[in-house]
Amino acid sequence: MNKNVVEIIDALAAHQDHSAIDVLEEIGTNSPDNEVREYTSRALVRKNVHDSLAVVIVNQGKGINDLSPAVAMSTINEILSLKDKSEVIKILDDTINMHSDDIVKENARSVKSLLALS
Amino acid sequence: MEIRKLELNLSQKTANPFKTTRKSNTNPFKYNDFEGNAIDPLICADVLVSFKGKENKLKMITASVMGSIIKLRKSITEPITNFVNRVRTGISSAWEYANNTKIEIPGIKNISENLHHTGEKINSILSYDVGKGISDSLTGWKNNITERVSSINGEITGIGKDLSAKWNSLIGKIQTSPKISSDLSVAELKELWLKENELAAKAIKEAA
Repeated sequence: MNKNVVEIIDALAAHQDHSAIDVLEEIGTNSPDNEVREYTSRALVRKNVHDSLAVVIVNQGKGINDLSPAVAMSTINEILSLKDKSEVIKILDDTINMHSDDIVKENARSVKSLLALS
Repeated sequence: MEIRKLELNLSQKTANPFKTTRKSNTNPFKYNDFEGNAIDPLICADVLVSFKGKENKLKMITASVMGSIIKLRKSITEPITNFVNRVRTGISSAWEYANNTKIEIPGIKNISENLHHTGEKINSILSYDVGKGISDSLTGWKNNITERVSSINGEITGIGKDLSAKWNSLIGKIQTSPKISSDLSVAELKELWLKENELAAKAIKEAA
């Protein structure tokens, strides 16, 4: 992956502006490159805020719901490695209870199970 | 038989039996008569003896020869020097006439003129066609060389332009690219990210 892109993603992840999450979602998670999607998803998880975690948990085809198993597993590992998991559990419960897509519900339920086991 | 007999008799009678006759034969006009130069009957007696059967006939021939000579002498009324001078004058006048007379033979003259014109034509053809051919060849070579040089120049110019554009883009990146950090605004980071994506897409297209 390009070094500049890595630096841009890190800079956006560290940015306090809320619009940085939108840029990461718009460009990073929609990138055709698996590595860019994976790195962006991990950056959004590390940010550990509601909007960034919601991007990789609730949206179909992004984060834990990505079609690439490598991207999904890398995102899950990054969620499991969080020190503060309160916000993640809250979003996972909301998704399991309220999301319309069954696949997204199942994925959220699996991640929550992993969190319970970890 | 007769010749052998004659040789034997000549060797016996005299050492040089033709001495007087040789003198008379060198210049037949030297003497006005043949007195003392007549063949001695004694010398050629044995020869004549062998021709006994023809003696009368020989005498008749001798007489006729002598008569002819005398007649010739009488017929030469003009001095020989005058005759020679007249002949020489005639020859010289003939030579002058030949020198001063133009001999014009139409065919030969035409041939000469034709040859002259043909030579001129050949010269003109050679000077025009050969020269034109060499000139055309040189012009063709020059045009080919010019085209090749211009094409090479075009290629070199294109390569130079490409290199210049790439170099300028690299320099522009170094000069214009700010250090990527969270100090930059989200908009700037987004713009940089989009540029990087465009460059990556170009690289993929060029590689393809």
